[in-house]
Amino acid sequence: MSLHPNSNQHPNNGAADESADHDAVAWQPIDLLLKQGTPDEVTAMRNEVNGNPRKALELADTITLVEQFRLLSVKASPEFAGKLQDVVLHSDRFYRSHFQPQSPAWLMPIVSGLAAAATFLLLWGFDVAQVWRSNPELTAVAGHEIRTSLSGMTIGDDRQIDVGSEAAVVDEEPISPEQASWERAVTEILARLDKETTDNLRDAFRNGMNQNGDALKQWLDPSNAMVLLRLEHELRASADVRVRALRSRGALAEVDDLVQELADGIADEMQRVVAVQTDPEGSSQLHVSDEELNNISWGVRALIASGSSAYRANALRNGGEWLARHVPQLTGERLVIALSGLVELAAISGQHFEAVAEHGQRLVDDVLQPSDENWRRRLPDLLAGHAAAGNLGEAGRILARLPAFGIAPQRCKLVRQLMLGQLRDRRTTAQDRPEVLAAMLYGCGDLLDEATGELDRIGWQLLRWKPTRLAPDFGTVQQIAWSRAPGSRGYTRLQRELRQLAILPMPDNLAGRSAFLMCLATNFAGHVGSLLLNDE
Amino acid sequence: MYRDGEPQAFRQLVDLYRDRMLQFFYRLCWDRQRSEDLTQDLFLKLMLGSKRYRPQGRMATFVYRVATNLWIDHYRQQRPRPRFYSFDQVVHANDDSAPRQYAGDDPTPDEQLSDGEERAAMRQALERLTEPHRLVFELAVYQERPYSEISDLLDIPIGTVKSRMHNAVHALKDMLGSAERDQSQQRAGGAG
Repeated sequence: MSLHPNSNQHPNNGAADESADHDAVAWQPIDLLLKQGTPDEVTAMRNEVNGNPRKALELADTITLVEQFRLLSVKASPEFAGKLQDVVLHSDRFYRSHFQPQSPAWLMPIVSGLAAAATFLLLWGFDVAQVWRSNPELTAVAGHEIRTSLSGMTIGDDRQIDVGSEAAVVDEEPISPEQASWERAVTEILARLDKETTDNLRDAFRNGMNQNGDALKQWLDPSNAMVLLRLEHELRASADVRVRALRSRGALAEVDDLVQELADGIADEMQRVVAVQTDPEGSSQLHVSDEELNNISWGVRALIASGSSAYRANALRNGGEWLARHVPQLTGERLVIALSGLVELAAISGQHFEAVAEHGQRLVDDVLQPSDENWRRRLPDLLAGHAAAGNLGEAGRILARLPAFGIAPQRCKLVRQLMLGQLRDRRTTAQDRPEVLAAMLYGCGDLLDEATGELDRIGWQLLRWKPTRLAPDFGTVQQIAWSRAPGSRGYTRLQRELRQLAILPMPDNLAGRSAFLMCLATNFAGHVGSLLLNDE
Repeated sequence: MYRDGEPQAFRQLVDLYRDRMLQFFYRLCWDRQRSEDLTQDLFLKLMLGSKRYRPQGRMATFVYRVATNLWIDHYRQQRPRPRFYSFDQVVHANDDSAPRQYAGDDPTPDEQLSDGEERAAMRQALERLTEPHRLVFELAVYQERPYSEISDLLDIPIGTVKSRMHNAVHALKDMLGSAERDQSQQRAGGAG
């Protein structure tokens, strides 16, 4: 780099000789600032600046400019880490397939030859074990390894061959059929999600795949929630506890009278519905309408929320049995509705635990297992646009508790992530309805992105809809009320508005009345753990 | 190292370059989503290209070469219409100053609020630089690559790198100076 003494002229004001040779271009303050050139050249530039005030001013100007421009940057989105994690995981597989040292070339023919010889001997009925038996010294020398390798090998008259596990030595951990099937499923699901018009579902799935979390916590939290549900149900049996909970948040004690009266009515009506559904021989009708299913499931949940009572115990038991009888034939949203009652019943009484475990697993598989219909031709029912938002919210809540029933927590979380993706999809397509927001908060509140303020934004947006104005959609009101835990933003305001519900007219149907009851019972049934703390 | 039996080396490479590359692509396309995707693509390409990597060269040069080529390919694909300009041209003509209509390129309301006037003016000024000048400016100022390496990366003489850099700096100074003058005139007009 040559330094031109007369270099204070601008090279051009829009046109420069692009083909200029390196030496022909005079230095500029930016070169000094970026320390471009050899140390000698930089020193020479610095000396020239010291002796030339105009150059010094230009340099100061350039420093200001560069410092300003260096402020232009961007903060990575929360998904960015997941995207890079995908690449790193991919690189591990790539490494194994491309760079991992291979076995020497001469090994394969030898192994093949030995395998061929062994097969030949076995086919000819050669009793290998007899060789060892006739050579006790050899057996003694060979020791444990030989014994174990032969102990699993039985060559009887029927020529059944069972090779001991220690005989097979592999370099890599073998992939189980379940793992292989899961990997195929993931590939199919990703291929389908790539065709979606929005990225929400794909991002949700990738996030779910990448976020493993604390494995122990994923099992313990749902199990602890089950214990709390049971404990609080026992506490709720006491009218004093209920009234204290109501008063602690500013509600009237008389609300409990209304709740108990409603619960008795619901129990009576449930008994009638269950009796109609069961013929004199005791076998239930196969077909269940949506209305009946909603009535019984909501009824069961309302009876649990109102606190146990001897008068209502039969109705609760019969309702649970009715749901357990019908749940095997249900799929999609209907399965969610049935499970919502059964999960709570199983939590407080231990009844129908196996049914919840079996059909909860089916709920997970319905979403994650590709079939001729699911994923290959269309999205699973629960991820389709026609699924009711309320049911997605309920499904999210159920799936959060299913690990306590022995279902893999990662899979449950993945399904919840997908459902959240589906709900986000609805928001981006301008369906910012209260039931969508309520479902997100109620079913997937713990998965919402706190870093981007999604949780807070949804909470504030929901405050725009007063519970009294959402009536008679008490299903949505219940999800809003039960998702806003004490201490959360807007909780006090919501409590004030919920108090006004007590004067609203009663819904006509059983499911509506049950949802209404659950809204009124929010203070003593809506927030797992709060009743216990309040009682202490 | 990755190729020689250290699978963790790739993870280290990702950790080392992820932020730099995100900023590199962001200042070229002004779209966070797109710059994240490009960064992901870059690391995929680096992984696939690791078989061809020759350890004689510096790793940083290899990374920047792949990144620069990736951006040039992307830019060519995304350019909405053919644009002809001389290599001498430093800034786009005024009628050509808002050329790229990328999906998601519009600043969100949040971005609009957070971007101060000054920031917006700087961004506009950078956007008005022609691609060859912007690339040189990015590599030299933000990525702090030596001119010789930029010359190697872009396959142009080192004198051309220097002249593009000088022209870019002068053009930016001019544009920011005129933007400041406009703003002060507007304020003066408003006050009057």
